[in-house]
Amino acid sequence: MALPIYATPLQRLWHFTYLAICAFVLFFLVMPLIAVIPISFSSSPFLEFTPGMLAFDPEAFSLRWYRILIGDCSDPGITTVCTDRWIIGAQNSLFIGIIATFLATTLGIMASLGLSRPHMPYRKAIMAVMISPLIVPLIITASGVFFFFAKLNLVATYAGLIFAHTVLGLPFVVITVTATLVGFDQNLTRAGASLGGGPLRNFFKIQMPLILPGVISGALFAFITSFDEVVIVLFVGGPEQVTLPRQMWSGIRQEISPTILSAATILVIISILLLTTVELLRRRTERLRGVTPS
Amino acid sequence: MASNASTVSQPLLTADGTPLKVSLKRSMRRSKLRAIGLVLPPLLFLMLLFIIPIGNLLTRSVDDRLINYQMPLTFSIIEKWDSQTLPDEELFEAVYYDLGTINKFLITNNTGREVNPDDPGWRVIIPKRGPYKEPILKINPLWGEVETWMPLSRIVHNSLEYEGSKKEKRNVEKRAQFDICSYLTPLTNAACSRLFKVLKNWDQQSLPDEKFYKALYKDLSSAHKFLTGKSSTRMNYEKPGWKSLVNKSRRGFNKIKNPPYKEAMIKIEKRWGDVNVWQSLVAMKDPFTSGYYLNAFDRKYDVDSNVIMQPEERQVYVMLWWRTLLLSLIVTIGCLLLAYPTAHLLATLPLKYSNLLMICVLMPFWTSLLVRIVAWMVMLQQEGVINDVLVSGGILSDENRLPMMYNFTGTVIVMIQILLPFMILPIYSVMKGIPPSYMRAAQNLGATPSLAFLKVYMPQTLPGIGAGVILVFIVAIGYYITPELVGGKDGKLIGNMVAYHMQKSLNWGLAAAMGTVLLGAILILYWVYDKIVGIDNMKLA
Repeated sequence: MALPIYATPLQRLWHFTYLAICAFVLFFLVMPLIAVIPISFSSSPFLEFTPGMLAFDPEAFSLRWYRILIGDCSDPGITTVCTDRWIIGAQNSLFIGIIATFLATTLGIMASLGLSRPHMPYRKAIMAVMISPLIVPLIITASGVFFFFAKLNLVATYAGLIFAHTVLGLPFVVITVTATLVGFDQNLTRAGASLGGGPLRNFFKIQMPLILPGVISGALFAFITSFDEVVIVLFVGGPEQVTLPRQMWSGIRQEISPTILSAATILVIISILLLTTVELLRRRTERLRGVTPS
Repeated sequence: MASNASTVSQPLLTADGTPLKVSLKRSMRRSKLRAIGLVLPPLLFLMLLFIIPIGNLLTRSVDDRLINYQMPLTFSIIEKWDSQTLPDEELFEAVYYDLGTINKFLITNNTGREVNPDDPGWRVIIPKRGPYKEPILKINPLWGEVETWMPLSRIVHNSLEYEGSKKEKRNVEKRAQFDICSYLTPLTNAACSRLFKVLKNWDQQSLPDEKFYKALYKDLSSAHKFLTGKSSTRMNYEKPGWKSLVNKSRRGFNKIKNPPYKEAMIKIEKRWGDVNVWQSLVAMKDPFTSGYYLNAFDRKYDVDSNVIMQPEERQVYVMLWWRTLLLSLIVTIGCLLLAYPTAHLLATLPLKYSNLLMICVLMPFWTSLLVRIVAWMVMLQQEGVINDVLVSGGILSDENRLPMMYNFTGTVIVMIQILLPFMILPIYSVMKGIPPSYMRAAQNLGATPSLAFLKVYMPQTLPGIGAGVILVFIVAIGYYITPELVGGKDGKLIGNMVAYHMQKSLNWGLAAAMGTVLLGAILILYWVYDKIVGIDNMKLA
C-alpha cells in the first residue's frame, strides 16, 4: 500500500488521511477494552486513572477488586458490596453454557448434515428458519419464550434457560458446519460405506474429524452467545439463576465498582484466548482444503 | 430387427432385476428421507421453543377476550342500545351482574361467548354468607351432578399421586390449584386452594355437599376479583378512568339490594350516567382488537370507530419509532463510513500485517457485550478517560466536561463500536475478492484514481456494502441492552419500550403489538438480505 513516488501532494494528503481514519477506527475498536485492564488493578474505588497510577506509584495498584470478585471479603477498606454471587454466577454461566452448547452442537450438526444432502427438499426455507433466532431481536425472543415457558412451568428453572440458550446457539453451529460441509467430498463416506462401515461409524470416523474445525468454531460461538446472554436470563431466569452477565447487569445498574472491571478484564482475556483458538482452527481448515493463505 | 426392438422396449435393469428407473427413484427417496430425518429433530426443537412462542406472542397483540369473559351478559345485549342516549335499566342490570357476581363462571362454560341473556341463572344472587348450594344449583343444575365435579377431582388426584421430594410435591399440589382455577375460569394465575382441600378428601361418588359449594363460591369469588382487576386495567387503556370506576362500583354494588339498578348505580358512581363511558364499552366488545396497534402509533378509536390521535400528553410511541429509525440510520451510516476505509486497508495490506490488524476488529466481536458497555462507561462518563484527557490537554475546562453518557450521543457512539465488526467483515470479504489489477487497468486506460475508484472499484464492493448495511440495521433496530444501560432518558428505543411494557407496566398486548411491528420490519429486511447476499452465504468471522 505504499504510495508511488509520482503521487501528487493532494494524493499524499488523501493517503495519509485514509491511514489516519483506519488507525482511528482500529484504535476506537480496541481502546475501551484495553483501558479497562489497568483501571481494574487500581486501588481506588473510582473508575478512572488516578494520579498515582499515572505516576506508576505501586501504592496505587492493588488486587483488591479481584479478591472481592472471588468472594474474599476480608479487605477492611472495602465500602462496596461484597458477595459470592460473582462466583456463583460464573459457575451457573459455565453450567448453562456447556449444556446449551452441547445441545446446540448436536442439533446443529444434524441439521447441517441433512441440509447439505443433495436431495433435501425446502432447503432454503428450512435454512431461513434455522438462522432466524439470530435475526429476531433478543427482546422479542425473550418475551415470547417467557410467556411460553410460563405455561410449561419452565420459568425460573435451569432447564428453561438451557433450552432458550440452545435456540440462540443453534444458528451459529448450523452456519459454520454447513460452511465446512461445502468442501466435503461425499466420496469419502461412500468409500467408508463400501468398506463396511455403518452410518454412525462412518460419521464419527470419517466425516466428523474433517468437519471438526467448523464444529468447534460453531460450538465456541454458541458457547460465547450463551455465556454473554443477559436479556433471556432477565426475563426467564429466577433469582436462583444468577449468571455472570446478569451479575454484571445489576452491577452496572446499581453501582459501578472496579469489581465489574476486574470481571471484565478476565472476560477480555478469555475472549482473546477464544479468538486465537478460532483463528488457528480456520487456518487448519484452509490448510486441509489445500487453500494456502496467500 | 427383432433383437433391436426388444432392447428398445425393455427397460434397463439393475443387478437384482428391478428396472433402473425404479431403483434410482427408490434410492433418491431414501436419500431424501434420510435428509429429512436428520433435519427434523432440530427443526421441531426450533419450532417448539422458538417459532411457536413467538407466534403465541404475536397473537397476544390482537387478543381481547379478557373483557369478554368479564362482561358476557353486557356484551350480549349491548348491541340493542342506540349508542347515543343513556342506556336503560336492562343494560345497567347486565353490568351489575357481570361486575358483581360470579354467575358467568358457573353457566357459560367459561367461553365467554354464546351467551343466552334470557337464562334465569344470570339473575340469581348467591348470598355472601351462604347457603351456597341452593343458589348455585339454581344458576346451573349441572353442578349437582357428580360428573361435573369429576374433572376437578381428577386434577387433584393426579397431583396427589406424584412422588418426589417434599418440595416437589408441594409445587405439584400448588400447580394443581392453579389448574383447577384455569379449568373453571380463563385465568391461569389464580389459585383455587379451597376446592383443592375439599376435593382431596372426596370419594368421587357421594353427592357434593354444602362445603363443596362454599369452596366453589369462595375460590371463584377470589378469581373473579382477579379477573376484574386485570380486565379493568385493560379497560383503562381504552378510556382512562375505567379502573377506578370498576373498583369503586364493585365495592358499592354490595349495598344495592333491589332493582332498579340504574338509579342505584348512578348514585354510587355518577360516571355511570355518562354516555361516553358506555360508548367506550361498545368499542371493547370485539374479542379481537387492533387497539394495541393503534396505541403503538399513538392512535385510538373514537366513539364512531374512526381512528384519531391520542391526547397530546399520551403521545410517545411515534416519536420513539422515529428515534429508533433515526438512531439505526445514524449508526448504520456511521459504521459504513468508518468500516469502508478500514476494510479496504485490511484487504489490501500484505497478509502478515492485515492478520494482526484483523485481531483489532475481531477482539471486540468476541468480547462480552456487557464488558464493552462497561468499558465505554469508563471512557465516556463525566469523570471518564476521554473527558480527563480533554481537560488535561487544555481543550476543555474542568467545569465544561462533555456529557457523553446516558444520552443519545452515548448510545450512538457505543452502538457504532459494537456493530462496526458486522460492517467491516462483509465488506472486507468482498474486497478481498477484487483483483488489484482492475484498478491498475482502469488507471492505465486513463482514469484518474478517484474516477477508477468510483467507476471500477466501488461498484464491485456494493454486495458487501449491502450485506453490512442490512445486517447492522437489523441488529440496531431491535437493540435493547445498550440503550437501556447507556441511553439514559433520550436514548431509549422501541426495544426498551417493549421491555418496559413486558416487565413494568404489564401491558402485554401493547408490548406484543410493538414487537410484532418491529419483527415485521426485520423480517422484510431479512428477506432483502436473503435476496442480496443469500442466507447460505452468511459467514461468521
